[in-house]
Amino acid sequence: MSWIVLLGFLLGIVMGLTFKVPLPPIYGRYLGIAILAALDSVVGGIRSLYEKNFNERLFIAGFFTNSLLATFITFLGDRVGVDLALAAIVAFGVRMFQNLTLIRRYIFQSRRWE
Amino acid sequence: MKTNSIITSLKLKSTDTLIMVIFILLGFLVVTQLKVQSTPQKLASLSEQDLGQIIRELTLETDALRKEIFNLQVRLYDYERKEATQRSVLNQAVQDLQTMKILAGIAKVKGPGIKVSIIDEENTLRGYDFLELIDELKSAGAEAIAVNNHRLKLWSFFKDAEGKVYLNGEVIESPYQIIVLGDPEVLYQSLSIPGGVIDTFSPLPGVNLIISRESEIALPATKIRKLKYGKPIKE
Repeated sequence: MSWIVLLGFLLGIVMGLTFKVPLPPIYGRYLGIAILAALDSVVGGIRSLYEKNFNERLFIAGFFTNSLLATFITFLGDRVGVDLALAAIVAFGVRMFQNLTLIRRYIFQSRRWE
Repeated sequence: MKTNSIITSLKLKSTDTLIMVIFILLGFLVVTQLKVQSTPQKLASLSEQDLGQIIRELTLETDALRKEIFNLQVRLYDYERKEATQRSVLNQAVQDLQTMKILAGIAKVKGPGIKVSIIDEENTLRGYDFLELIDELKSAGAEAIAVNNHRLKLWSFFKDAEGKVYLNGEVIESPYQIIVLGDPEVLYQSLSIPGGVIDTFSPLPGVNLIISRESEIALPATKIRKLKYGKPIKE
């Protein structure tokens, strides 16, 4: 499982370095929010792995819906003149730290450091 | 079909493939984002708040620069005015110096005037005759006088010795040529009035006097004399 993740990630980095995507800078914000949402999904997935209730389908679905929703919220916020990206940043940020806390706890428990 | 066989040979589930795709996507997006963000930000990518801030800062900067331009222009104007004043003072000083040099006889000068040619065959003219003539010319407004190419100045003197006339210690002899700068008509009149120099000189034996009015004459200069005793008084 983990080698799939690492291989995929490295492959993606190599592809990103190889192919030049002409992304207009104005969309950099949206991409950033989408990456944040994706990272939140990844951290959430790691947590569920430790809790032994990791569901691949749920993870895949969560990955895409989180990213798309976050991007859409940001887009909507820009349309209506409210910085809704902040909502996504705060929500994902807080949850990521909560999940990281739990992951840390599971790792410590599994190694009997506590 | 080939990828499917690889997947099956590695005992991969379809969700594993999807997860791999997800991470490929994530890596790709992260790198893309890093590349985009590392390029210098363009104004188009900034939010309205940031743009407003930039405009405010630029406006303040522009105001400050405008003020500086104004101050510098004021200073430039000041300097120009001062320079103009100084230049006019300098011009005045140069003019004054020129005038003084001419009056002192240490600068060459040209202008209208008269030429007086005196032939004295029997050597009857004495120093005081010349003094009389020159005083007459001065009273008629002569600005510069030269006798036999010797420019007259404040310290010029005539002297008689051994039957000869000396000017500044040098012998002058007939024919005498006296060049006078001034109004030709006035000078001529001052010499030719009844009882004047012409009347006095003409009866003398062997003396022949010719006066010609000139529109342009040139007078030589003499060397400046160092002051030995005089010191300027500061006002």
